[in-house]
Amino acid sequence: MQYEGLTEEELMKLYQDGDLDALGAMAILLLPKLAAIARGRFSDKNLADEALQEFWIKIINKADSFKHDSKVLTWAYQIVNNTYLDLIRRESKRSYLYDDISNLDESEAKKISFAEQSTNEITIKTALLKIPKDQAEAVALVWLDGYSIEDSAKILGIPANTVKSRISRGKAALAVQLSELDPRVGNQKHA
Amino acid sequence: MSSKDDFVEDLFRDLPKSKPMSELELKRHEKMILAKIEEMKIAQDKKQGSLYVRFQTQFQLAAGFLVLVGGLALVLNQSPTNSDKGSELAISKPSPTAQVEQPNSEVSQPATSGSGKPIDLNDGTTELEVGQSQGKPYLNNLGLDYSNQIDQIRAKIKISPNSLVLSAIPTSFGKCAVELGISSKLFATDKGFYDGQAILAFYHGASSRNSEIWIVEKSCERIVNLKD
Repeated sequence: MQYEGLTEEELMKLYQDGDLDALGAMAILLLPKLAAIARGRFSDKNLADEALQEFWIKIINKADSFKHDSKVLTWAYQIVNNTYLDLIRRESKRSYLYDDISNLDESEAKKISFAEQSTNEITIKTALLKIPKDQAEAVALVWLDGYSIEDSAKILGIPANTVKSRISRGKAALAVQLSELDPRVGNQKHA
Repeated sequence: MSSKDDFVEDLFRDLPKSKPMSELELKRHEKMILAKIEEMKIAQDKKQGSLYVRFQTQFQLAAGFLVLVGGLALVLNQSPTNSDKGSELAISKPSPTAQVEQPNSEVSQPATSGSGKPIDLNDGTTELEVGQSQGKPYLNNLGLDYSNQIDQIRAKIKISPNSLVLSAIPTSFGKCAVELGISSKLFATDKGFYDGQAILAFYHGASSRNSEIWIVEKSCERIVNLKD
């Protein structure tokens, strides 16, 4: 393989010099990381698959806009996160998970439990849309994708302390949005 | 750090995740990426080709014009009469200039007559144009995978209530539909993937509500038929 051993940045440079195959190689190199993010953010396998496809398509389509002033992963993560927020917005509107409930061949009790779980999942995720984007990014990386603070700092291209403070502010903002799911309040039921 | 907000972290961390993607699934995405790159290459080649053709046409027009002007100058120079008569001749010879302008007027003519007087065209042509404008929304380009995203495809696909006019679909699709013997009852077409491989999809059947999906390779080799 002619691109073996090249970094994402080097492949991007080759692409911007006119080598379209290098763009494909770069997207393939990013694929496992993108797949891990898609998997961490969607419980539904089809949605995760759809999200992964949207991630790499957007990265390929926007590759011309990469300015080499950051790591490719940092740049790609912004695209991934924006795409993710768009997907949540779309899913919350069309209530995808509700539609699926009618198709399940399960008992009523199971259906209700599934509905409740799905509702909570959508409520929790849509709360990310209501807080500042930089906080949502940090929260998603650490809590949903499972990256450490240090790795998240590398991906975002910012100091670790900034990641911590974004998460802290994000947590406070999300607590307001999700107060009805606070177990101490005791009304976890979502209408 | 206020501990009263810690429940938020638990909520997010406890969210269900889907299973890690298998090697096979990643390979499928790799194939799709490579197919997308191939598509981009074709689009790039087409763009470059059309630029070259445009340049070539303009160059030919300019060269033709120069040859004509050069020829005219030669004729005038070789003329036995000089000075007074020469100028008279130059004025009284508008025909070559008119010839030079003729290609331009020819180019603009079809546009004005076509858009201004559609009723003057015969019936068949008018019908074809209507078919084309109606058919276009049904030339889908979803880019989804028919092997595992069929529900999303069914939700998004646009199917014509009437069968499509063959002349309203791209030639490559049309040729393939004829080759497969399904050209008479087509209700939609789509571009996408099947198991990671780039494919064309034809929605063919007795009616728009009762159609079968023919999945074929770009080379028009049939892969599979999907039924409702």
